[in-house]
Amino acid sequence: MDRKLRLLISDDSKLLRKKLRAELEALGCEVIEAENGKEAILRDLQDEPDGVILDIVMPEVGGIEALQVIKEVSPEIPVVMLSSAGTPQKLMQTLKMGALDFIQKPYTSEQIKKAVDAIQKRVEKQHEAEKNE
Amino acid sequence: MKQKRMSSWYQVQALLNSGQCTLEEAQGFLTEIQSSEEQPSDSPDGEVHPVRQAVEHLAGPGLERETDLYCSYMELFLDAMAGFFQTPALILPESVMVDTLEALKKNHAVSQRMGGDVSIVTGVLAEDAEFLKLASRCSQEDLKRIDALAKDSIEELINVVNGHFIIQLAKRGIDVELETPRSGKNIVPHGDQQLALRVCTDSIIFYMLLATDDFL
Repeated sequence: MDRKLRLLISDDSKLLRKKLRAELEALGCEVIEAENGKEAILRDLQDEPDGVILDIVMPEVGGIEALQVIKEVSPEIPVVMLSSAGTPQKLMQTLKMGALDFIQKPYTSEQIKKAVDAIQKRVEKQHEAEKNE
Repeated sequence: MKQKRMSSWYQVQALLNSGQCTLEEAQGFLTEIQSSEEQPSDSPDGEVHPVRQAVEHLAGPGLERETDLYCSYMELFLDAMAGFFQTPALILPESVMVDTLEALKKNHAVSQRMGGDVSIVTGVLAEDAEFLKLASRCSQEDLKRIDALAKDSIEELINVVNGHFIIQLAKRGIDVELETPRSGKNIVPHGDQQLALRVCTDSIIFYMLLATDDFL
């Protein structure tokens, strides 16, 4: 890719967004923020990010509903769940809905780097597939 | 007391439970533990966890049905404080009455409800200065006032612990969901089956609140 990876982060915590933005920018990503699921869906439509990092417990529209809509609108977009609510049930549900990975809070820098690498690989694979079409 | 070296906050909790150290001595031990490069020792096996002992002692009559859940929660909470937030903390062995909480004129509180097969609401309440210190410690940010970042910091503390708690409950076949955290100021909490615990770190004192319905 000849431009920065553009990632949408959706979490109702301003503090978490601030810290995650710093981590992602240090990894060379461009960051777009959303503070709930509703805004995440809008941002996904308007800004066309390369990937999404999505919390589950958020006001207005939660992460599960947002994941469902985002996957309907952009089936190929890689979405990584980043949440404290990582019960086996939620884990299975989100992976079945097409989430790429699930990171249990509190996250580590290594987990974020791994997620960014996975999103990057997925995006590059999609670009190659588009070229070959 | 100072000559004895503590390698784990569990040991200090046990000393507090048995009245063998004061608050100041306990905070001194926590400072030593935090500055030590030694790995904290594992949870005490084969004996009643000192946190459980403290909660059972303070819960008293009327909370028999909730005590086991509250004990499990506090064990996890204090483990998370030491592990995730590098801030070991202890339960002070003293009953917290409603008038104690009423006397905290300028306070901030954060709570989060977990609902489903059981209902449990947990929260942190502290006088403003202590709230700010705890928020700064947990976020590792130099926070100057109680603003959105400070409240987010305590909300994340509760949210992270509660997330791990619902996973623990799921392993026991108890299905609960997290709700979004709430915050408030200058409140006097009155929750059903409420238990308030006074908690200290090396330099911060706050109250943990546990109840079966919302208290904010």
